[in-house]
Order: sequence, then C-alpha cells, then structure tokens
Amino acid sequence: MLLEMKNVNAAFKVDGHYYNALDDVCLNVNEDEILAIVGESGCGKSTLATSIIGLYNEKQTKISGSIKYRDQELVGTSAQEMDQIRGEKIGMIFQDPLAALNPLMRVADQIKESLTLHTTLSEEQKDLRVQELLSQVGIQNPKRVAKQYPHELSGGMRQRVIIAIAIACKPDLIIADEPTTALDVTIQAQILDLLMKIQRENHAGIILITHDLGVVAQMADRVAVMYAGQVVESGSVQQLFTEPKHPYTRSLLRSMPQADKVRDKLYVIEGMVPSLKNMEHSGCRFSKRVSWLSKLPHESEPQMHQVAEGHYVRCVCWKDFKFSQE
Amino acid sequence: MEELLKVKDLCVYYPVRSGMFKHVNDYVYAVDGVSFDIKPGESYGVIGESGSGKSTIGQTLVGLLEATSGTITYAGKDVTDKHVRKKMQYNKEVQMIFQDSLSSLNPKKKIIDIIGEPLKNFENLKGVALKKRVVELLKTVGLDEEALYKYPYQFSGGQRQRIGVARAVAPRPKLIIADEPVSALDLSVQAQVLNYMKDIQEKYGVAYLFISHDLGVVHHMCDRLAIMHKGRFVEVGTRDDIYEDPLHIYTKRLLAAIPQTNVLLRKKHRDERQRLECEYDSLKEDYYDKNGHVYPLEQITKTHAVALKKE
Repeated sequence: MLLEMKNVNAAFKVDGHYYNALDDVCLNVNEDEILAIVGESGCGKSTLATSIIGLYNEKQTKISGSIKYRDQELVGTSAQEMDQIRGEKIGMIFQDPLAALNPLMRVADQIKESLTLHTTLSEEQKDLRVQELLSQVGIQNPKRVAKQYPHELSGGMRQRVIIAIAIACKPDLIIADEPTTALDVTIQAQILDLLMKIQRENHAGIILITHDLGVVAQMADRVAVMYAGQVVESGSVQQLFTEPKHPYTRSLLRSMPQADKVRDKLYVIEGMVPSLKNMEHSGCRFSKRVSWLSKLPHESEPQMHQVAEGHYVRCVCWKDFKFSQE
Repeated sequence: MEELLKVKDLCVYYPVRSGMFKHVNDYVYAVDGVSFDIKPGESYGVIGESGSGKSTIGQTLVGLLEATSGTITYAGKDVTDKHVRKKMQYNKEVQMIFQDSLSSLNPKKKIIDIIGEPLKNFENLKGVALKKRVVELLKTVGLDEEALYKYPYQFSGGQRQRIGVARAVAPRPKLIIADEPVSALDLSVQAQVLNYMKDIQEKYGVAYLFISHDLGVVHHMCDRLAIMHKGRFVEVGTRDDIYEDPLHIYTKRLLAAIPQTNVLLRKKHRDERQRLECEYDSLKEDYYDKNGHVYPLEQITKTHAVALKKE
C-alpha cells in the first residue's frame, strides 16, 4: 500500500478555538491507482491534500491520526524530513498554475529547483532532464519553453509545466488538486490523458481532487465522496456511479447538467456546506442541511458500513432515502 | 416572430500598438464577421474556448466595447451608434450578468444600493418604494430581506451571483447577456443559479444571450446556439442540430471532450475522443482556409448552418 490514512483529524484555529475540518478520515491509495475525492467547496478536500503533504501553518493547525506513506509516518515528522519527502516521493499539482509558478523565474529554473534539492545530477544532466520532462508532458518545443517565463505561456502550457515540476523526481504518489478546473474542455481532456499516461509510465498512485463528476467518471479507479469533513461514501467508480447509496452522492449526481438529456429543472441541494465554526460534529451531517432528510432514521454516531465488496457508506439513512419528487 | 436583437457582420478588432509613438501596426481580429438574431424570450447560446471572441460579442452588445464594423439592430432600430441607444432606453432593456461576482459588485456599497442603482437611474424610485422593489427582487432569487444592508463580501459565491442576477433583472430588461454566469460556482450552487435564471425567464419573458464554454450548461439552458472559433461562427443551429448531428470537425471535437458520467463506456469514449483529436489535426485544411480562417457559414437545413469548404 502506498498511502494509508487512519482516523485523520485536522483542526484549524479560528478566534482562539480549534475546529475540526477533517473528521476521522480513513483512506488508502495503492500503486497504479487513481483515487478521486469529490465534494463541494468547504468539504475538506483540499485540507486533506495539504495535510498529507504538510503544507499547513503549524501554529494554526492541529493534525492527529496517522498518515503512512509506505512505512513512514507523516504526521508529526519534522519540517526537514518533510522536505525530503515532498517533491521526491510525493508530488503536488495545484489548481491555479499562474499562482503556483514563480513569475520571476524561467520555466527551466523552476523545474531544476526540485532536481537540485533531491538529486545529485550535474548542471548539464539537469538541463537534459528538463528537456526530457517538458517533452514528456507534451510541450512541442521544449528548448524554447524552458527559457520562457510563466506569463508567456497559455493556461494549458502552464499546467503542463506544473505537472513537469510535480513529476521531476518521479514521485510515486501525485496529489492533483483540481488540476483542470481553470481550463477549456479540450485542454482539460489533453491534461487528463497526460496524467493517465504518466501514471502508467511511473506506476504512480494519484489522488485526484475535483468537483467535476464527469472527470471522475473518466479517470478514477476508486472514489471517496466527502461532506463537511467526513468521507460519506467510498467505493469503486462503477459502484459510485451505477449504484450510488448515500443521499449526498445521489444529490450531487442529480444536480449535474448533462449534455445527453434535457430536464426542465436541475436538482438543487438546498442550503450550503456549513462553515467551520457552525459545523455540528454529531449525528448525520448531511441530514441537517436537507430538512426532509432529517425525518429518516439516522445513527446517532454515523459509522461507515460495508454494502458491497469495497463499497462503504456512512449512516443508515440511505436505506429509506428517496428524492421528494420520486 | 420579430427579432428582438439582430447582429449583422459584427467585427471587433483590437489594435496592436508598438514603438515609441504607439503606432497601430496590426489588429487582433477578436470578432470577425458574426451574424445572429435573438427572438423575444428565447435563450441563445454562444460557445467557444477561451480566446475565441465570445466575451467580446457580449461586451460590444452592452456598450463596453465599440464595434469596428457591422450593425446591431434592436427592436427594429439601428443601435450601433451609442447616442441612439440612450434615446431608446436600450441601456435599460439590455443588461449583463458577469462571470466574477465579487469583482463586478462594488465592495463599498450595500446590497440595497447595488440592486437599487438601476432602479434609481431608470425608474426614479426612492425610499420605501425602492426598498419594496429591492426586497421583491431579492425574493425572486431566493434571498431574504436581511441581505439588504449587507456588503458583497458577506455572501457566498452562489449568493453573490444571485445578487448579480437580481441587479440585472431590476430595470425589467428584455435581454440579459450572461457571460459565463456559473463557471466559477460549485455544481449544486450552479444548479441553483441556473434554476433561478429559468424562473426569471418564465416570469418576465426576458431573452438570454448565454456565453459559456460549458456545453452541458448551454445544452440545459439554450434552444439555439452557435459554436465560435477564431472570431467566427463555425456552426449554428438548434440544440438538436448541434448535439445530435454536429457537422464541423471543431464541434465534434468539442463535444467529444465533455467528460461523460457513464463509467462503463469510458474506454470507448476516450478512444473516440482521441480519434477525433487526430482527425482534427489531419483534416485542418478541409475545414479552415489557408490563412487558418473559418469559412463562411453555409445553410444546410432551415435551422442548421455550418462553415464548410465550397466544393
């Protein structure tokens, strides 16, 4: 197993108090596997990513539980040790490529940064590796692009550079946080193909964070759906899309405008994800948002239950759940 | 039915200036000869990738940019000249919803003033009457009276976009130009905003010009649509024409790139997409002229027109 997360809690300090943004998250990632994490904004998807890779403010954040990369415990490792893991073993692809790239550095230098840190290559070897990486991510003219600055590149090209940086040291785990949200559909398709190609070549595991269910259906092997800091349903991509169980998963799937059928009204999930301060930490969290859902029988402390091989659902309310229109 | 808005051969060029005296030495052909019309109460979609010129069309229609050539006719009158627009209340009857709700709402104003501004300007409403109208408008987008004295930053992205919708609806427009109104929003919030926009259309009979890159959203919202590439329309038709029977390679490629939720067919879907991608690269000469421009539109059926090379 590549990454094993057990009972991970992450709490942020707001006005002097700690509030849990992640609650008892248990997830695994295997080699050669794409795990997608889905949910609305504020559900803790990105917090999960930053907890794994250690990109949080230590004074404001408390992480507990266990995150194991192969056999190494990541929770509580020192900043120096984390520097060794980050980039070399775990790579990260960010959502906004313009914000993630240094505007004052040439592309080649930005890629070389992690090579200098993690390898003992000579300057010439590094130059060669940069060219190799840029052509690997599908850039037509790697020699020219290497000398350019981020602002000279298009959005799709920038995202390719970000991917090149993330895979520079051949990490076996790649975390992609909304890698294609800012891109056009055709570019999105190319970037997703590229990610799959890299995954196959390097036998890496990928954690793909997104709110686009179409992307998930095309890419993922397994899916975890998050709501208000908890995983509410997880299973293989076939299970999640053909037999979704949890009311939240089913609501999300229903609210999606689809190109192959016309409906008069889109389904709307009333209300919004509660903010960190107003989040209640007991009971079935999604039922508090949708009023008619709360009348169903719930567990007082909802647990994950296995419903099929590898398919887990939180709480028992899904058994009696029907959309009010049905 | 008579057209509400008719655009004929619209061209918008941005000058490229350089040198010491900022001489104009080239132009960016953002919109290069586009014609379409919108009937009262219908939704017309313009789809394109970034840089295709779709937002330029919207901005030209509301008067944020000036047309280089071509004519815009509104309710039978030529409104290409902006002085005419003022006289015939064009600026009141054509409103806009912007993509980024935070930067398009004044951060120093309260909601009552933001939504009330067009009412003060165009309908001379004041005091209690103004407040009553604003509350009414907030209700149509599902917001409470509490919202009146708050500032834009106190709302979530979806709520802010609904305020943007309420502001656009305030002067009772006949046409609303919506430039990527939901592309910055979460899935469920997106559904909410789209539903309110549909409600408003039924209630007030406004027409929408829906500018977007999201083919799923446009499919849901629009009856007729145009696919735009490099400043020109490559294919125009009804929803069924475009989605069921795409003829231009660019449209096919765009449709194939939409991620489908059908997991069982994903391998097939991916192969199909990659095949079209290759076809697009190899057949470029058949669909674009030697300068890389799109050919003029040819009418195929009554509703369906495609930019194909003449035999």
